[in-house]
Amino acid sequence: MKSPNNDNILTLDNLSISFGGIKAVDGLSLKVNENEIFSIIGPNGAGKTTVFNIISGFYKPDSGTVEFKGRNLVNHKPHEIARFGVGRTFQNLELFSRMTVLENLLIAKHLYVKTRFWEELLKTKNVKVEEARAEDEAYAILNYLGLEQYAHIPISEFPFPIQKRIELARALSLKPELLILDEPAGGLNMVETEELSTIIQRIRDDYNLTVLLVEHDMSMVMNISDRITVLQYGKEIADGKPEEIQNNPMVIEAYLGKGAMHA
Amino acid sequence: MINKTKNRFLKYLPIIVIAVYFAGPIFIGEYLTYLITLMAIMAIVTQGLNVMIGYAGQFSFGQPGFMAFGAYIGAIVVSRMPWIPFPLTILIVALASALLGFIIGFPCLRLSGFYLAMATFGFSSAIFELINYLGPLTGGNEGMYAPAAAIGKWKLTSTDDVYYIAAITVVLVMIGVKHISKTRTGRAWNAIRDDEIAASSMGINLQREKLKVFAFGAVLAGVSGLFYSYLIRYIESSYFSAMGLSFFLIMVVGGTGRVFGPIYGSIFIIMLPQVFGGKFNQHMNLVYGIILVLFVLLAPNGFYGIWDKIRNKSSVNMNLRDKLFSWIKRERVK
Amino acid sequence: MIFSLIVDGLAVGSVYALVAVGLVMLVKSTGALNFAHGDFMMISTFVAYSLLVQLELPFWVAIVGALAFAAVLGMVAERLVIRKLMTGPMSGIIMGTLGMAYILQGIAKIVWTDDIFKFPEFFPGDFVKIGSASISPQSIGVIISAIIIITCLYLFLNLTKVGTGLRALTQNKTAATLMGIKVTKVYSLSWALGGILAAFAGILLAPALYLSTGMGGITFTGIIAAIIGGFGNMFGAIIGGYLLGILSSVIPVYIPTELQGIIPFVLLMLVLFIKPTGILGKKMVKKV
Repeated sequence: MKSPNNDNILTLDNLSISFGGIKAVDGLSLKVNENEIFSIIGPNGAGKTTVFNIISGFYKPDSGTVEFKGRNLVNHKPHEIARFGVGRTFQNLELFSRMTVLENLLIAKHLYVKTRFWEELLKTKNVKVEEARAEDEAYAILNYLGLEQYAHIPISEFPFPIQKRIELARALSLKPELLILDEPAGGLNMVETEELSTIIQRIRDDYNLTVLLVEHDMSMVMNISDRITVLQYGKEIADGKPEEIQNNPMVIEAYLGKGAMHA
Repeated sequence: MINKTKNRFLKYLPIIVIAVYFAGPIFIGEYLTYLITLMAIMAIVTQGLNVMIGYAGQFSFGQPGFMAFGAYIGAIVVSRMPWIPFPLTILIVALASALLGFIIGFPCLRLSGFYLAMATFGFSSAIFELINYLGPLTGGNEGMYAPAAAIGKWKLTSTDDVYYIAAITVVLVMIGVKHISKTRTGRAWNAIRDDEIAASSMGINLQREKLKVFAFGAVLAGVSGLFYSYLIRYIESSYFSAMGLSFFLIMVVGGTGRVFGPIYGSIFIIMLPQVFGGKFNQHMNLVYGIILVLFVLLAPNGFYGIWDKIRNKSSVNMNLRDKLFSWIKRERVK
Repeated sequence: MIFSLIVDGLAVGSVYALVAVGLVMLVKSTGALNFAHGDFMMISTFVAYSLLVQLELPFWVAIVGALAFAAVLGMVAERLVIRKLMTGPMSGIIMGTLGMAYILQGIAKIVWTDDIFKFPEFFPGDFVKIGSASISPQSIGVIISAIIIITCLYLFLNLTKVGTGLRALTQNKTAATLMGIKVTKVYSLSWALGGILAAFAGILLAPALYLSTGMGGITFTGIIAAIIGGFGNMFGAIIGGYLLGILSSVIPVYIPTELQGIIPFVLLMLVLFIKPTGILGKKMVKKV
């Protein structure tokens, strides 16, 4: 395992957003180093997914900046942010469920298939070459995640855990430098979760990327994270290495309620 | 062995169909030629609608307006500059329609669902109002003569001539859309149709792709409008505004989102009044309405869907038979 | 001059408001934009006409008959067409209701022919003079009737049990189901109510306008009014209706007659592109 080096790839500075008067994220600042697995945890409604939606451009923050590789992502559209190198998965899956697994991955190759509209109409040689290359790359990722036998089956026919993995494969097809995973272990059993932990670490090393994770499964978070930030009511209440977080009284209180410490 | 010949036959089938299609006017009378030309024209404009709704999920009431625009631009330009050869006219109309598609598409970018439908309806109606208003240019309510297609001194005035122009175009359009549907742009459009959030996080520029599909739909409608003006030689805005329902019907009957759906749909729509004739034409809209509702309710995937169902059923029967045979065989072995 | 135009606009606007309220209620309860709404109106008005003029029934009997017809028509449409399309894609609903519109027009043409008919006025009398302006009693009658109908609708939705059920459904389907509201019954009811509102609009409109099978085009005007007021808000639909009525009555004074037909669309475009959520619409936050 590579040790994370200390260059910031993502810096959130004083990020705030509110919906209908309720502050979902309140002055959040954090720095994610290149090549590390960074987790954001917190009770339900703490604003974790909102942070992800700000980073990937779906929400515009009321104030603060999101700096990715030295570029402010605020005011950029989601597709531009994808182009800058941020790939993500969604809490409730946003797969194209009528399409096959391969088609889903090929859509993620949109940025890498260099063809023009008129070339596609005529199906020129360039189109065939580019399409074949995109398909090869998609198959490479399917192979890597052990999904190649599913390539031509529509998404809707798969059980939830496999759909989760397909969405991960699709996010990887974007060739991201920062991979944002929103509750990747949600709905998975213990064995599947453990498998997922290994996969995430392997992806980080093999694809040389940074992982930003929101997850409720604490054993997984503690296992694979290099650093963790804890959110409550949109505010950061702790950050540090997994062992520091585990022993932080504020975190225990946030999760288990007041008085838990003395129990 | 049988399968192989069958496959080979299937492989050449489209070529045979196209060959017969192009040889058609030699053998059939002028009226049938006229009808088939009309089918081709309807198939082209509906293919635009089909791509917009079926592929990209962008609802449009705008096709009649785009079609009228194409017809009028062609007629206005060529009646002033008769020397323009018709391929150039087609190009001019295509470009003008694309431009209009962009102009109308741009403000529509923020809209979706019913709002988008109403905005396109508004634009389409505005085009008709403007055509009627700009009397000196368009003849207003009275309509205007549309010049025939021509290259130099060679005038393509007969129905057969328009037949060939429309026939070549419809084949090219179908092939083009078939290609698009399997490549980058087609996938992006499907992605936008199914899930805009996921599409944008895959790096797809929603606005650009929506504009592209708007322009594409506009070009097909505009060009088919031009061909329609070649065919009937006299245009009134009401001809086009009355067509709106037909396009939806053709799309739904053929099979929304299927490449060759518009072809089957337009054959159905054009032949229906021919088969029933007379009395039927008085109540055409009633029959069309009933067919549209029945298809939307019972066969939402059109002829394609019905065909798929029949095929699946027969394959189920096949499985049953196979199972039965294997069971009998096993019994014998015992 | 302007004053009497505004009163005329209010009268037309009352009809638009009734159409728009009906449309919005259907969208909110069943998620279906009813492109046949204007044709519900048209055919119910023809029924009223037949009862009143051809069968020479008393005025109130004819009105009640037409309203009952409209209610049944709405329920039948909901049961046969809408309920199946509700869960599908939006294009299915548009095409399904558009198909219904053409069916109703076709039927009306067979039964009542393509001719235009004069619907008797039921607010007869001399023009009322207010200052220099003279106002037709018909306009005043329409405005007052519409206000009464809208008030009754409001009371029905807020005071009766079924009405409350309908309101609950429009706000939160799951919660309404959990509260034990029979959803299908409320769907049925809302379409019956939609039909009744359409019929009222038609009966109020017909004396001012001639009665013809082409009346259904008002659907689009109604949708435009609903969008102007902010879709998903019945109060907004009423405001949108009156606003559209007044503007399309006053603006023609200042522009060429040929362009009058364009007014609603220009207004529609302005609203869609400046504030797509309409005057009273709330900002929608998309969920990811």
